Amino acid sequence: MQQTRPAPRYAELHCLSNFTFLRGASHPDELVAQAEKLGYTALALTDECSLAGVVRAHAAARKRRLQLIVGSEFHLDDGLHLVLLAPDRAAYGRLSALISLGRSQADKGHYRLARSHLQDGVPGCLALLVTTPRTNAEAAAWVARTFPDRAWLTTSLQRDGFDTQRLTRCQMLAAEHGLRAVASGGALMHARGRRALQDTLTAIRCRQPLAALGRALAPNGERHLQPREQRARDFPRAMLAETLHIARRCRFSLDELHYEYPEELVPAGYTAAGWLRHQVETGAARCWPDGVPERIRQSIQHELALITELAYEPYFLTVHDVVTFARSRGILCQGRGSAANSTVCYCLGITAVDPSRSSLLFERFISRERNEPPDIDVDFEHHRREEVIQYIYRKYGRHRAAIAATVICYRPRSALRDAGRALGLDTDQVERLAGSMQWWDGRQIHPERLREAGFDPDNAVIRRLLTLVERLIGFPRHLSQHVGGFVISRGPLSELVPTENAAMAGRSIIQWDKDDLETLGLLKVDCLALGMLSAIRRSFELIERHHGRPLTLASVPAEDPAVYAMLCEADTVGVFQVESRAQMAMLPRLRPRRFYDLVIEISIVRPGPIQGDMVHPYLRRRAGEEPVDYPSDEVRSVLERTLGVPIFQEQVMQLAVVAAGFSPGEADQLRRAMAAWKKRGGLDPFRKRLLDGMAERGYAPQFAERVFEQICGFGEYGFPESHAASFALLVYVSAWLKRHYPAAFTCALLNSQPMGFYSPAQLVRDARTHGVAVEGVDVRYSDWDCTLEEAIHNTPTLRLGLRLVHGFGEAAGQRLMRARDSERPFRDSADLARRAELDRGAMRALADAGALAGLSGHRHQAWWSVLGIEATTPLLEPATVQEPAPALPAPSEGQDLVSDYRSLGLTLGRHPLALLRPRLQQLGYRPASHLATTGHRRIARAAGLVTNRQRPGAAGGVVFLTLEDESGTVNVIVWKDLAERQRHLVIGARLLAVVGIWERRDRVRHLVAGRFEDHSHLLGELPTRSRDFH
Amino acid sequence: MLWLCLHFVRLPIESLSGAETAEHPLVISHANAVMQANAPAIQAGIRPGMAIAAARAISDGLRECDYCGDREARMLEQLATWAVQFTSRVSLQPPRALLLEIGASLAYFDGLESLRQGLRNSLANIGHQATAAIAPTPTAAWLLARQDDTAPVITRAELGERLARIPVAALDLEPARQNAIHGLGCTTLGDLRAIPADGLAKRLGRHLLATLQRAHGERADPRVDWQPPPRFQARIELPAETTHSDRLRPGFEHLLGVLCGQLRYREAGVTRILCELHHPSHSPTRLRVGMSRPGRDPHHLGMLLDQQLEQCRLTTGVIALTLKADTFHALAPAPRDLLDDGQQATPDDAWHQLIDNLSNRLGPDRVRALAVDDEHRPERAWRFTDPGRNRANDPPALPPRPAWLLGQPVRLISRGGQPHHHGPLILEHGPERIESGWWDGQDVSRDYYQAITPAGERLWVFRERRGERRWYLHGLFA
Repeated sequence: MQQTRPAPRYAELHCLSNFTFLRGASHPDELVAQAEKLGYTALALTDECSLAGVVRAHAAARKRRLQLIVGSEFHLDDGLHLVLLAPDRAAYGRLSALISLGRSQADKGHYRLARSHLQDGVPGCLALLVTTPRTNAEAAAWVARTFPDRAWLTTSLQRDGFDTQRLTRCQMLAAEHGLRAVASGGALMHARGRRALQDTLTAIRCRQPLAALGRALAPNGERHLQPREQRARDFPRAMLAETLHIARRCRFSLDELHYEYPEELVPAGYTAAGWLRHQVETGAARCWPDGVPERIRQSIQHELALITELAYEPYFLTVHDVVTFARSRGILCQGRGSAANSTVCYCLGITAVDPSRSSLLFERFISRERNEPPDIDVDFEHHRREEVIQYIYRKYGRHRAAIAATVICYRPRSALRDAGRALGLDTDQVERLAGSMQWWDGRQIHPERLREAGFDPDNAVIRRLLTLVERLIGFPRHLSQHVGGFVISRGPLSELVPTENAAMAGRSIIQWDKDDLETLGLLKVDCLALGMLSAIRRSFELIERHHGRPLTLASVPAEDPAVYAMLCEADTVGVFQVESRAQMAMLPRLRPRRFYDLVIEISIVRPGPIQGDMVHPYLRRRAGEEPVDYPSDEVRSVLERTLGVPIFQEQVMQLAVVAAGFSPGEADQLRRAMAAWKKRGGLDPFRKRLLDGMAERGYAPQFAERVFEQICGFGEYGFPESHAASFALLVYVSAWLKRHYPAAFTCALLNSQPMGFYSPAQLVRDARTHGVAVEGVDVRYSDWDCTLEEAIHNTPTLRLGLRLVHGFGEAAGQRLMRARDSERPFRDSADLARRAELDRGAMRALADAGALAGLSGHRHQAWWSVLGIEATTPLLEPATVQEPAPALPAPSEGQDLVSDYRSLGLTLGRHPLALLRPRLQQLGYRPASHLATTGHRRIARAAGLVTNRQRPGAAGGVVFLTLEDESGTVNVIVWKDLAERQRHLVIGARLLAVVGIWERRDRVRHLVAGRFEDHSHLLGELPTRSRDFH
Repeated sequence: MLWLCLHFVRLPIESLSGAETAEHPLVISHANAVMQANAPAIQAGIRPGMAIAAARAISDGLRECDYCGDREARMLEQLATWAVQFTSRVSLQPPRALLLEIGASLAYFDGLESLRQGLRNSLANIGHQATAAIAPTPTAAWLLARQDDTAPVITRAELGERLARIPVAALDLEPARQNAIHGLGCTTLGDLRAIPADGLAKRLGRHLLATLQRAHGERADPRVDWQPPPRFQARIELPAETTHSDRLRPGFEHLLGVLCGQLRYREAGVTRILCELHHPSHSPTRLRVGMSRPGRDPHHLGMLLDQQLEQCRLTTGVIALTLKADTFHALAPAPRDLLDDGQQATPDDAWHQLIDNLSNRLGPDRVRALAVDDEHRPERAWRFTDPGRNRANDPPALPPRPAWLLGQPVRLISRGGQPHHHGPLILEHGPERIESGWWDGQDVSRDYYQAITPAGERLWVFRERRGERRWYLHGLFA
């Protein structure tokens, strides 16, 4: 059956990608690539009630010059199967609105549409009714009626024995109703080879193993993009030609979408530019009451000119409006990222980096060459961010504001679980394998991991599993809401992009994620949450209440030497950004003495500077061990503030400008290429320009090469200086609070959990070490939040709050607080339960936490009293039955400890290791404090609870552990070989003993592990938790 | 009264004959974990509580049997049957203990020690292990036996002291109550006794208090005596030895009548009966009759028995007949018309009678039914099943399938790409492409066609899509 004629032209009009979750088995760009390879004239992406994948398809098609048609398929209530295509912008808007409607009428992840919803004919859209042998004439008639001049009948061929019937029925119905029949593929994947994966997706979707699905699986792999020759053999010519007619009618491209700002931001009588200028000048007058410096004035002009040229005024006004609202409610907020390079942003109150004190590079934020909208991220207090979000919804309405989506994709663990279940593997084993995968294992599953989990890597089933898993990783599973990226539009958002319900009530998301928005040049405002802002605000409130001292971010006394001294000692548990292991190791070496040192401190402990080899030279020069020299004055002006070592992205950009003659916009392109070169390559053109430019200006080739190497090292990890400056302010303020008001600060940190690097147990321990008195949870005194109680000598005591009690809810806590009355203290547990309306579960939680000690005695007695509470109605005074109190024995210290940890996650009693010390002593392990006096490079032994684990990506496989005992902590370094060899202990042990070499150099001390022993069994039931990080 | 509790700790594994003493490692599994392991398994390093997968990783040749509560319950009943030789008052304490009231038997057995020895010997003979504890109350005896506390408690006075040491876990309470007791700091029964009774009952439930009181003999603890299950055995003798099967019929009719009368009285039916023909100096000839569903129709049973009789050739004379039936199934009486003489058979009855006839005549595994399975691959889309099961669901909408499927597809010669079978085949209706089954290693990728032979026969053939793309015959249309 050879075709001698060339294959006819064809456009595929019905095709699903993996954005039809758990049905499509190919990525949008794979479909586009295959369509191009097969020589299709056009490809329509028609995911089910969704446009989530079209932007990716669009980007791929743009590169390949394949015509992409935007559409979507629907299964209506009555079973009708319809494909709608958008030939122009208006039709696209109607299609998007229809999708939004369908999604809004069902729960997250589902949609509901009936014929009545399409009664208006979805003006402009082309409709293809997918027919089966059973489609009745009535359906065809309805389609012909509802979509006049733009309806077709289509069918795909599945080679399941019913193809002839399908084709016949389709052609017959078309003839009867004056419609034309068109060929389509109904493709679910780009190539036949994805059959196995498609079957697996079906199994995952139906939640059954493959062997149990029977005929629910596709009978064959025919539903892929077929070669044109095959299409010609299967379909009559006329039906193929019709695909081209339809494709020709479709002229819409996503490039036609552009962003329209809301209009209400600009009051009557002003233009957007004029209003923005007005706001900026008002702000500038406020920031510099003694007159705006000339340099600043020039910056403002320069920035406003560029903003006007690129028409970004409404964007700034939008963000200004949100920030003004937050400030009006006393919500702490601060802009971060490259926006802090902007004087305009500072004048508008969006960012906090004073341009008169730093040198800003506006082009890092916005540039002509970038051809992309700016990105302003604003951090809000995390507990109050919801107020800001609701403000945006209220002001613009839920039909004009929505949050960007995040595409949740399969990762190694989830892929293993789902694929393993589909293949019918034993759940326990799959769980074990999935559980032993640490984030750093990447996409490859090491044969060792398989053997450990009881699998044979050579087994056929296992090999199938691994192939599937590798394919499945990166496949979308569902849409979730982005952290805080808002899209706000002038007209209804649903005509720009479909919206759907998010999992949280009262929230809606758009179907595109932030990469999609960036590709299309649409703007978003990021309202992010920052825990430290909450903690700082709470600290300020506590200090005002208990010490009568009102404070703001701006009024905290600057440059306090005591604060810098504390930072040099690395006494920074709880301090923003500098509390991690790596930072604590750097602080004693860098020894910050002023604000700018903090800016450097934050930026230097990152993979970028480490890989680019900036750290050691900087430290040496700072210590005076190395001379600082500059090849020219221009270079000096750029690098002087960092002793000649480029540390910030802006410095690299500035070097390119002053030393190699780049324009600021071109320098920004260099910066972006830097960030992406690992993914996409392409730094070479810049290399040549840089070297040539520097050679022209008389710089030595070694200098130029060195700069280029540093650029490569930076990669995507270097910090923008402006961003570091924003953060440095918070570092200073949190350090100041910790130094001067430790009780208030710890109280605020505890009330702002979850946040930060340390658990409540460690925060409390650190506070007590600094002399803060801490009292336990007590129903007679504790609020829901932790509070400060006045004690003698003006030093407040920290009272732990009810929020720390596991299993005790906030509503119950509020009731308890309301029921508490200084005139009428709680008589006993029954009285408490009755007045605060606490049920058995809540009372038990309190008993377990020891919070009833004041009313009922030790934990066993508290249990006794709680068990004896009978539910009585509030009307009846309980008949106080006097029953004899039994003599229950008190819990042992160890039992109390276990209960403390289980119920509160911390203890105010002795550290668990204090109880175990005699036993550990026998085994030869000394406390951490003992190590402080051990000499450099001596053998040492330490044992403790594992409280932190870190495996930084740039550290080459090294794991950092922190062990805690009753006397302090020990930092342990585990080299890669040992980490692999004793992997289980490193990952899973709770009480770890180490024998190794002690190193101490310049106040940096750690134990290099040689060998581990797992003594977790000594802990018995004590529940401990470690914070594990990258 | 004096109670002896036998706690059969190893009953799960002992319920499978030979499991405990097998030479290869064997475990009883429950919820994917090892419940009990035999000695070779323990030696290999397997422990109760270990995950099955882990156990298999340790021991390659491990055999594993699922725990079956019914099987254990049946074994316990059999042990009860064994235990009645020591006392008539035996009661079950599921899942794996028996309570024997031995106060009355002591005199018969010549004292406690001799009774215990007798128990030990007899247990060894039947191959079971048990811990025996003795106490004045059944609950106390049970608790002590679970704790392996075998020293007898004879008087009430000692009871308190001995029970005090027992941990609370022995009471086998549900987790919530267990937690509550733990929260009070009580670890032993003695701790619980120290708590005032009213307070205890109010907080932990009257049931717990009652259990403690029963254990201590402060509350009555009546136990129901175990009764062996009903069975039927009847015998009739013949006036003279005979080898004529006709002469045996009246006797059988009588026995069947008596059996069915019993069954009617008990509203039960049987699925199996055993008939023995006794010979003077030979072991009896056995005839077995089985039915697909429980029944008590003497005519039907008689007919089936007749068939067996016909097939068996009597060479020696029969002097007596025995009829035995040992499992009765509940069987509700069919609603009867007052005028009905019970001879009406429903179509369903006729169907079952046919199956019974065929099975009994040809042998039980020679009569099978076909069922359709949900599968794309034709060779796996069907299976054998027991006759008389529910009718299959509506068959799925498929393109025409042949009535006959070959056990294995047969390779066809092809010339010039066209398959041949008794001549060149003409292909129609195709291809129907079937590609499925990659997940169990039996992936098929085939194009199926209906084909006509020159003689006009209609065949079901396919061509492999992979490899050498050979043609095969897979089925025949009727």
